[in-house]
Formats: sequence, C-alpha cells, structure tokens
Amino acid sequence: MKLYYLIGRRILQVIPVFLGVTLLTFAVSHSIPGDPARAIAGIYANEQTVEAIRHRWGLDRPVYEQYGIYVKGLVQGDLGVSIQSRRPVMDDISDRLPATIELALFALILMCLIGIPVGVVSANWRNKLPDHLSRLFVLIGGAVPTFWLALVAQLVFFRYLGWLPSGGRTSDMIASPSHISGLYLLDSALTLNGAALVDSLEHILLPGITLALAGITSITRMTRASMLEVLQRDYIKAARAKGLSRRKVVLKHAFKNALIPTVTILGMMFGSMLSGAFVVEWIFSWPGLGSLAATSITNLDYTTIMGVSVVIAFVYVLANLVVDVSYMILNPRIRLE
Amino acid sequence: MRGSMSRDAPVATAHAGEATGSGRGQSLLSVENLRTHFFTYQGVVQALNGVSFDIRGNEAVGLVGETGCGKSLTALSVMRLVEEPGRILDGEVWFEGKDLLQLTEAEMRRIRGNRIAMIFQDPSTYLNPVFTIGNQIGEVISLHQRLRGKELNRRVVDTLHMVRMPDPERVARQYPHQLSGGMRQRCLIAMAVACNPKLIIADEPTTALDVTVQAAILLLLGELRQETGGALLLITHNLGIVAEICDRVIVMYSGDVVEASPTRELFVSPAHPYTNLLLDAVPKLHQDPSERLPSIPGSVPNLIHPPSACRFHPRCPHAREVCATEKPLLQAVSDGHMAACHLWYPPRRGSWEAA
Repeated sequence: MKLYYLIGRRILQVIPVFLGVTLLTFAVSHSIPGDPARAIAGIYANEQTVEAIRHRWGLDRPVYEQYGIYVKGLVQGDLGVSIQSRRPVMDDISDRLPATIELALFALILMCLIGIPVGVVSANWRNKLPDHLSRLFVLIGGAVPTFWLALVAQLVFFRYLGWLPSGGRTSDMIASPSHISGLYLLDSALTLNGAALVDSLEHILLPGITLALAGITSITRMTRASMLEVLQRDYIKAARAKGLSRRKVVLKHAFKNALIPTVTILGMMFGSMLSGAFVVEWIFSWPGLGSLAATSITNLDYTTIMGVSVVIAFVYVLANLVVDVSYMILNPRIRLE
Repeated sequence: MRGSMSRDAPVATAHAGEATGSGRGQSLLSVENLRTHFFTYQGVVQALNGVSFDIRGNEAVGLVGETGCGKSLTALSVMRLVEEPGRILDGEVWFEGKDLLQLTEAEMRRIRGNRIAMIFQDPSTYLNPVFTIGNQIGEVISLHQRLRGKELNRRVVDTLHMVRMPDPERVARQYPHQLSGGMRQRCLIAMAVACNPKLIIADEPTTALDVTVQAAILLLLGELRQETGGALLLITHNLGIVAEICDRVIVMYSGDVVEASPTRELFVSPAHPYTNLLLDAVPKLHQDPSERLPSIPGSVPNLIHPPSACRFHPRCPHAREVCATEKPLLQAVSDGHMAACHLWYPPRRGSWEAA
C-alpha cells in the first residue's frame, strides 16, 4: 500500500524535472550556430525557398511559441519531423532505442554479475590474494579508455582470432528475430530461435563487454568499499554471536546492507550508458541512439537532437525511479519517511 | 584496608583457575589463564593478561571494571568472536566439559546463540536495520532447532512474549527503526533467550537506555534467569546494577582479574585496593553534594607498555617494591573471596634467600 503510494508520488515529482529537461534541450538546440532552414533546403537553394521552408516549419515564429508547439506535440508523443530523414523523429528513435536499451541492459547485467561478486569476494578476503587480484583488475580496467579497448577487442577477436563479428546487431544470413520487444536476445529466446539467439549474442558480446568494463570496475570498487564498511557494523557481530556461519553473515546480513550504495551507482550508470554509448556504438556499428545522435549532430538535424535528448532524459529519470523503488525494497527505513 | 588481614590463613598457591573454589566439575564456565592480545602497528596490545574465573550454573556474576579493562573482550574471547588483529594466545575456556578454544569453528557455531548467547550494549546498532524483528529472531531458532514455517513463527511470537513484548505478532513484522530503544533491547534479549542457552553474557545491556527503561530491562533479565535457570554473566561498570542482581562479582583491572567475591562481601569488605577505591568513587546518598567525588589518581595504563608485575601498582596507595617486580596471584582471602594483591599474601622469597 505505502509502497504504491510512494511510487505514485515519485512519478508526479518527475513531471517538473521533465519540463526542465525539455526547456533546456530546446534552449540549447536553438542557440547552437547554423540555420536549420538552410540545412533543410540545401546549399544551392535560393533565399525564397529557404524563407518558404522557414515558414512551413514554423521557424519564423517567436521562440516561446515554437516551444509551446513542441511541448504540445511532446505530450501527444510527437517529437516533430527529422530534417535529415523527413520521417517523424519518434519513428527514427523507436527504431533505434531497442538496440541501445539492449546494449545498455546487457552491459548492466555484466556489471552486476561480475562487479558485485568480485567486490564481495574482495572485501571478504581483504588484503589476501583475491583482493589483490581484484584491485589490480579495477586499476587496469578503470585506466583503459573505452575507444582503445573497443578497437583492440575488434582487432583481436575479429581480425586475428576470427571468433566474433566486427559490428552490427545481426549477420546478413540470419534473419532478425520476430519483433516482440525489439531486444534481439529476448525476442529470439522467446521465440525459441536458437540460431538468432547465438547470432545476437555473438554480436553483442564485444560492444557489451567494452561498454561494461569501466562500470564493472566502479561497481567492484563500490561494492568492496561498502561491504568493508558494513562488515564493521555491530549487527554483524550480533549475527556471528547467534552462531551463523561467516558465509551466511556475509551473504545475508552484510550483503543486503552493502547493496544500497551500489544500486545508486547502477542506476546512474544505466542512464549514462544510454547517452554515453556513442563511441562504442560508433566503433561497433551498433544501430542505436548514440549513432543516431552523432549523425544528427553532424547534419544539424536539430529536431532529432532534441528528440534524442528528451528520450534519453526520460529513460534517465525512469532509471532513477527504478533506483528509488529498489531502495524502498532494500531499505525499510526509507519507506516510512 | 578494610577487612582483617591474617598471615596465618591457608595460602592457596595453586593455579589461579583451580583455586577459584568449586573447580571444573561444578562450574558451568571455567576460564583459565585467558590471554588475548592485539597485534597492531604500534605494538602488541596486551589486552587480556591471563584472565581466570568460574561461573556456576544458574549463578549471576557481575564483571566490573573501568572502560578498556578487558570486560567485553573477555566475553568476546569466550565466544571466540575476537576479530583481527586480535588473537587468543593462550588459556582454556571450559564449558559443559569442552574446552571451547579447542573446538573447530563449526562446533563453536553450535555453541554460539544456542548454549551461550550474548546480549549487546546498544540495541540500535546491534539489530540489522534491513530485516524484520521476526526474521532476526527466527534466524537463530531455525539455525539451532531446525524449525520452519508456522512452527517457527509461533516460536518467534512465544519468544517475544517471553520478554514481555507488547503485541508480539505485530512487532515480529516490524523493522528495528519502528521500535523504541527499550523494545529493541527486548528484541536483542529475545534473540539471546530464544534457544534457551545455559549461559547468557550481557555486555552492558542497559548503558544505551533511559534510566527508567534500564530498571525494566534489569528486572526482565532477573526474571528470565529465574524462569530458565541459566547463568548470567553481566558486564557493566555500574556497581549499583551489580549489587541489585548479581550473586558474585569479578573485578577486572587492565586485563587482569584482581578480585572475585560474593557480592555482599565485596561491598562490605573489598580486598583489593583497586576495588576499595572503586567503591569510594560511587556517589552516596549521605554525601555532601558540594564535595567532589573521590577519584582514583593516575590514568588507565597503556596496554602496549603495561606497568610491570601488578598493573595497578603505579596508582596504588599501598604499593610496595614487590608490587613492581612480582605479579600477585589470585588467592583466597576468605571462603569464596579471592584477590590478587601482595598486601594479603606477601610472596615467599626463594629458599636460597632464606638460607
């Protein structure tokens, strides 16, 4: 009961945040140099044509009116028309969003599956061999730049070993799985399409790992630090005094408490992976939001830039909502405040 | 010195642990020559320096001494819960016919929470904030008694009932932060008594509570002991509490047991100068409130470089030369009353000296 009430209140709080985001992206995209009407018309069009286009796209109206029209469209799910593709921006984005979400989710799962256990092991064997190894891994993994890692991974696993494809989401020979969620791994698993599943997995492996590495090291560090802190707490001693094994104490009493700060980081990372996967998407030709944003910036396609920004902000806010809800599940003290 | 001093009294020169009167056979817990040290960068902290004492079944024993004298560490050493860099170097802890220090960790786990349970000082930090009270009490019951499901829930509620918790069904579903300090302490006590242990070690169970709640918790501890017939080791620095509920008192100073005595006798005729000064420092009703309370001169010794022999000698008004050179053994001063002080039994010089 209380949980639902709190989630509802949290969603309402998101609305002003969201308005702020649209205002900011609108202001920024309108202050960047370059004339969008000229970009639509092309370099060789005459002034009259450019003027006509400016009028037709509403670019001659006052800025506040343009913003009003934009927000009105936004509420109805209309992000305007892309200058570059002449399709509704919403369509362009919904074609690309699943790819980005799939990549980010895959990386997020890797972060949890690797970062959290390594952090726990590291804390439990503090200053012993496993801890030294994990700290070395954190140091190296955190120091390697993503673009360099992406190129080296491509070189080694595609060029030399030939184990994995160099980019894209699927091979040409294998049909994409039928569209359910747009996440190929999920769709092919749901339709029991083994060939497509293996193919999607092969394609996502390199970009996924590359994207996840920096996050894995942060999660490892965070989990280790908060486990070490929690293991010093009095209730750990009390749990040991009950006769619980050390493993049970670590995995039950310490782990749930230590997870709280880690979840915060995970939520923020998911948000930044959606917008920050540009480099990885670019290098691995991953047809996601990142590469869409990159091409629309170079083409001055400002409706698409804004659309991508708004969608990323939306997902970011959503990710934070999920973090808040998982807080409430993990930490009963928050539920009552 | 209060009390009589007789040089003709029988001298118990045997090993301190065996000299405690009853011997291993009758005591529930018999700690002998327990030495726990901490190995820090600054040096070795000699926190427990050969602690010996006995507790008989269904006896309430107070363990008193100032902060840092090793009271809590004694309890943790008995439970074998001393954390790095602390290490138990030497000694024996006999409980129900077994030396706990010789058991494997798995065997020791079956003792903890089951045969010997512990109640801690601050109920707000010793309860895990993210699990319900029912979960945390049920955990110890399911661990040692293999109960599950409905039966377990019933036992949890029964246990909460036992510690006089109002509305136990509701409390079992609540989290620690939803309860008051006194209720939380009742929960910690419930966890300790859940498996009906033979010995409960209570480490300053009332220090973090309001004075009115303290009285209620002490009353509860006393009643529970009578109901269950177990023994209680009460660690405290509050002599008033000791006088109220303990049968015997053990006084520690700087990692040594300096005196062990029936409660009444300790208050009437303390044998060790430290105990004497400690009792002088307790505020009394007829005292002139404008006067300063007497205090023990000097400060708590550094345990990395402790004073030689008797660790109390630098602060002792009766100190003699021998106190700095020979460590006094714990010896009987009267029936059941022991003290470790040269004032009572000047050590005999070796025969070569007499010759």
